[in-house]
Amino acid sequence: MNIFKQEFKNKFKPMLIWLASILAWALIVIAFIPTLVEQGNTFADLIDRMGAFADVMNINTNTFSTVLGIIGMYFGMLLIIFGIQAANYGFGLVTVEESELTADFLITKPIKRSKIMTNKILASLSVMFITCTVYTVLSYLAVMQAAGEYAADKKALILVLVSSFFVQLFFFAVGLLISLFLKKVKSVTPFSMGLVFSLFIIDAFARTFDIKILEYINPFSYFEANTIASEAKYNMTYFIINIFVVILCIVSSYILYEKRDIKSV
Amino acid sequence: MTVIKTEKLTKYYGKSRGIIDVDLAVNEGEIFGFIGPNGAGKSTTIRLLLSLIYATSGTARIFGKDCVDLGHEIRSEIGYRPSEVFYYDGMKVKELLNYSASFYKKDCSKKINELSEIMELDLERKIDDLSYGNKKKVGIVQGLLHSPKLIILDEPTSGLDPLMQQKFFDIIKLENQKGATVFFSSHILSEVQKLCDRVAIIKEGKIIRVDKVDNMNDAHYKKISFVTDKIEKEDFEIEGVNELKASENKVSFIYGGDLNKIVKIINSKNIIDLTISEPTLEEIFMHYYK
Repeated sequence: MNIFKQEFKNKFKPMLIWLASILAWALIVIAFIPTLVEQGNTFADLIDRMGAFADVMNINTNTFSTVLGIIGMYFGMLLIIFGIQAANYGFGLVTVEESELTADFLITKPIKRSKIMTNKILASLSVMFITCTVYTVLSYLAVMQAAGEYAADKKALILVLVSSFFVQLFFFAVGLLISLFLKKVKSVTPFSMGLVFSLFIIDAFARTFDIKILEYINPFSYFEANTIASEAKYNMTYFIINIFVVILCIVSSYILYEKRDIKSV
Repeated sequence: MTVIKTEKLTKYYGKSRGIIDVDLAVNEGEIFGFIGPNGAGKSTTIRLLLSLIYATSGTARIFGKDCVDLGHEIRSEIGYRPSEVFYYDGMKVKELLNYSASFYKKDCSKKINELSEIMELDLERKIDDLSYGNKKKVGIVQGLLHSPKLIILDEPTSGLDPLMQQKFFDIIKLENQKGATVFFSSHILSEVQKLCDRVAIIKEGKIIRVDKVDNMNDAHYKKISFVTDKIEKEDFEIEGVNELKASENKVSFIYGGDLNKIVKIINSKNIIDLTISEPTLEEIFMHYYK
C-alpha cells in the first residue's frame, strides 16, 4: 500500500498537466462543432478530390458534416496523446527506478518483487483511469452542450471516448514488457513516442493499402474512431485481442521482473 | 550461529566474471570485513545476498533461509547501506525515512530521531539540496532505523569527514554490542583494521583468504629494512621475500618465511642501520594483490 501511495502521488500532478492539455484540445474542437457542421458540405467537395490522401488522413466526405465525423477525426488523433502517456508509464514502471538508482532502495526492503510490481501497476492503472474518466465525462457533456440541434448518437460518442482507456491499457502493457527486455532505459520518452507513432503510422498504412493483417497488432486499428462512431459498437474480435495482449504482456512482465538483475551504479 | 553462509556462490554477467565459487560464513555477533579493490566482486557478493541480482550457480543463505526463495522475509532483519545513495527527487529527509520505515512492521520514529541527532542530520531539508556527505548520512540512518539484526555496508565511509567516520564507527560498534552482526565491504584497510573481527580478502572474484584481523598481522610477516655499505639485490631474492626494494645502500622488503634464514643473510652484511617492524594491513594487502 505504501508503494501504491508513493507511485500514485508521483504520477498524479504530472497527470493533471497532461489531462489539462488533452481537455484543452478536446474542448476547442468541441466548441467549433456547430460551425464545422454548418460548413461541412464545403469541405466534402475538397475531400472528394483528395482521393487516397484522404484515406491516409482518415477522413471522408462525412468527416466535417456530422458531429460524429468530427469527433471521429479529432478524437482519433487524441489517442496518440493517451497512448504516449500510457507508454510512458509502462516503459518507466521498472526502468525509471533503475536509471535513477532508487531501485536498490526499494528491492532491499522486505517485500516480494511481485508485490512491488502489483502496487506499481495498480497505481498506473488508477492514474490512467482517472485521466480517461475525467476526459470522457467532460467531453461528453461538452459535446452534448455544443452540438445542440446536431445532437450526436450518445452511445457512439461514449464508445469513442471510452476507447481511450483501452488504448492506454495496450500501450501501458506493451511498453512494460518491452522495457523488461532492455538492459537499460536512460530516458523513457523516446521509447514511448517511437512505439506510439510507429503504430499510428502502421495503422494509416494498413488502412490506405487495405492490408488487414497489420490491423491485428494495432490498437489504433482496434479502436478506429471513425468506425466506432459510424457503427456505434466495438469490433469484438479486436476488443478481445486487445484484452488478451494486455494480459499476456502483464503476466510475462511479472515473470521477467522476478528474474531481473538490478544493475548497480 | 551462522548468519551468512554462501556455498560456491558464482555470478557471471554474460561472459564477464562477477564472482567465482565464493564460500563465506559469517557468525552471529561479529563484524566481518570484506576487502578487495574495485571490481574484485565485493558489490556483486552483497547484491547477491540481497537478491538484487541472481546467482549463476551456488547458494546463499541468511539466518538459515535461502536468499532467493525467502528474500523478502530475510530482508526485514537486514539493514543495507549501498556505496552510493540515491533517493526519490523532491522528498524531504523525513518523508524518505518515514517511507523507508513504512516497510517494517514496527515503530521506527524513536530510532530515526536518535540516529539523526547523532549524525546531525536535518530532517526537514529536501534530499536534493543535501551535500554528498549529508546524503550518505541519510543512507546510514535509512539502513539502521529498523534496528536490523544484520547490517550490510558497502563501502560506507567514503565521503564522510573523519569526525563523522568516527561517529559512524561508534554507531556501528554500538549496534554490534546490542547484538547486530555486521558485514562490511571496503577497500580502505585501516578502517577494516579498526572495526572488524575477521576479514575475507577477495581478488578477481575469488576469496583468497579468510582470517582474524589479528592473525593477518602476526602471520609472521615482518617488514624489514636496513642500510648497509653494499647491496647485492640477488641475495634477497629468496622465498618469502615480497615487495623487495633495493637502492645503492638501502634495502626494504616484507618477509613471510623462516626468520633464521633471513637473519643469516642479514648477518653476512655489514649493517649500518636495521628496522624490523610489523607491516600494516595495507602492506600485507598489497602483497596479495601483486
